[in-house]
Amino acid sequence: MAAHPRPRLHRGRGISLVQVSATVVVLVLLVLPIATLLVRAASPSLLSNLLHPAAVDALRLSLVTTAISMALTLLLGTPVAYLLARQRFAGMRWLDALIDMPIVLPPVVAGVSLLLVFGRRGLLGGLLDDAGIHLAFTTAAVVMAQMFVASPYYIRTMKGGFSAVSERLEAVSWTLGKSRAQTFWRVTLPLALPYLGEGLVLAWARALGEFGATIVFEGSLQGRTRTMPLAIYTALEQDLGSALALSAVLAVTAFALLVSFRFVLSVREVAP
Amino acid sequence: MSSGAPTLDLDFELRLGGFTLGPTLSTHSRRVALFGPSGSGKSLTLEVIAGLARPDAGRVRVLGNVLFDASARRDLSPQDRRMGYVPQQYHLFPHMSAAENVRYGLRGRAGSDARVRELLGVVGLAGLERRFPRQLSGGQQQRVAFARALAGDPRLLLLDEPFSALDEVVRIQLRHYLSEMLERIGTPTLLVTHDLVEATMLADTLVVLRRGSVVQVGSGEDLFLRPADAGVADLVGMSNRLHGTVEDVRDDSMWVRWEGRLLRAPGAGYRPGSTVTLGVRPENVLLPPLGAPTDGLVPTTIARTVQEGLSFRLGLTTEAGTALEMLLSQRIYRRYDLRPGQRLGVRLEPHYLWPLAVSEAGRPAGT
Repeated sequence: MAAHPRPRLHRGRGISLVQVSATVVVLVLLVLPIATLLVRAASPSLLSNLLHPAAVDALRLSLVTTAISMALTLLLGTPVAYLLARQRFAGMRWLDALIDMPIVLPPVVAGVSLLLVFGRRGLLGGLLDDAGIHLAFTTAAVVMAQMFVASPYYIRTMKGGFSAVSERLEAVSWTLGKSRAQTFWRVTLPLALPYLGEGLVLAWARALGEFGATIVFEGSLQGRTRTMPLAIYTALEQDLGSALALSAVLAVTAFALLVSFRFVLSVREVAP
Repeated sequence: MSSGAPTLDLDFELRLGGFTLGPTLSTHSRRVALFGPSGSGKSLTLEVIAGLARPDAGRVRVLGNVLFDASARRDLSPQDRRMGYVPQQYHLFPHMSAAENVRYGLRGRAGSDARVRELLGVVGLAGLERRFPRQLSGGQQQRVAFARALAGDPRLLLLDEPFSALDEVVRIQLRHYLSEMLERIGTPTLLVTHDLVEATMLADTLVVLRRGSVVQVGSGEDLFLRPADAGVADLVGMSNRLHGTVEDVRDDSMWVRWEGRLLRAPGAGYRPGSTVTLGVRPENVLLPPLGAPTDGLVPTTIARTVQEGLSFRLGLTTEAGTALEMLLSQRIYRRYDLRPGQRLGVRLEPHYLWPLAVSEAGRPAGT
């Protein structure tokens, strides 16, 4: 008794000249640089460039820091997203807008702001210093900068995910004797899961490419704060081959993320 | 187990912007329908009973259990009320199979496969355990929602417009099915509907809600033939109005002068000389047998006829210019060979006339 499949809407015949030429221009602008990068990087010295200690350090640091910042984003961002999706309270629009700020803020400004608060001479820097915590120019600071710029993407996406789960569905679960926590774990979160994946991929991509805030807030110390983008920038001044190799790795990683993101999206469309 | 406590005992007030929901109701009936126009507060009443909306004052009791009492500061959570709430769009959990949806409703007896199978059997869905909601038809989804609500062994089933999401054809089949199923399981039911046929099929007691207040409680026939006031008369389709003057009152009857003739109607307590409005259903504006004498009939002219399925609604005009509606079956309509412009004498029977209070003036208290 399920509905029969519907045909695609008829859109008329052919592709217009405008569509073709615009696509060509966009492709040249977007794809040509990346393709060239990959071709140039694929030199015989690619492997030795990648195995260089500085490159390995940068790759390891990027993976470790983004893994930590994503775990923290998941832990802290999820309740915030649920709050934004479900509760109505005074100043909610303000909170909503504030959480979006890092998305529109230039990363350099983010770095300066972080420095002003957590730097050695910053607002909280003195207090932290007294407590024996030195944040600026540490790996912890890298994680902070990544969270600052990336977590809003996760919160934003997850807020949409929670909003997409009908409140009445939760209400029905309550009438069936399930607590709010049980309802969240068994109904709300499973239904918002595709959004969780989408949000994490977006946030991770943003964290992985983070450059501006990081270089201002914690500098570029190999093995401690020099992540991939910083390592590429450093290498550009000395060894183009190494910079190309690292760039290619980052490009391929980003592409892999994008494809998995699309996959998550298509899964969501098929899901009930 | 009901031990004399009313199935439903409501007396609360919930203010929402300019709207106040304040129904007062106490009934022992185990099959109750809340009936009323949209916006009258039917669904909200259901949510109050389920614990999903909180009244500002008053109390809510179901089968002797106090679910809410503002003065005693008692407000049971939805989790503790044991209400079998089935919302309008069923709201099955889309990521769970039919069986998982039902199992979710079990309280404490987790993993009881046998019970889940039994419940799906009760609603006639044996064999569809593994289907997901999107793989089920609307009617099947509805049954899963019932089974899920029944899994918690509810004190009361709360059904919000159970058929509104379904096609007309499916709806008619499912009404019969649901009526029979409710009889079988015996759980008391409170049904919300704006459909009188549905209400009369699935409930013994109909409660009319209007702008947040209960205006009438009674059987289907009470509502159809003896509406509490002109507003309820409109809701149940008692569309004809005869404005007359009370001439005489004796026992439970009164004689009303209307367009030069005397009509007898029920109505104790009216004062002679007061004006009264009598209502009569279009079905009860009667045709005399073919060839019968025409004396005592109300002479009218057929102004128009409108076909409604296999019925015909006739617009009649009396000699004084009053518009009357008459509803005839297609069979009768064809046999009498009626057409617009034709003159037609109709009969008004005393027991189909009903006085309608437009205002409270001139109307006895407690009628």
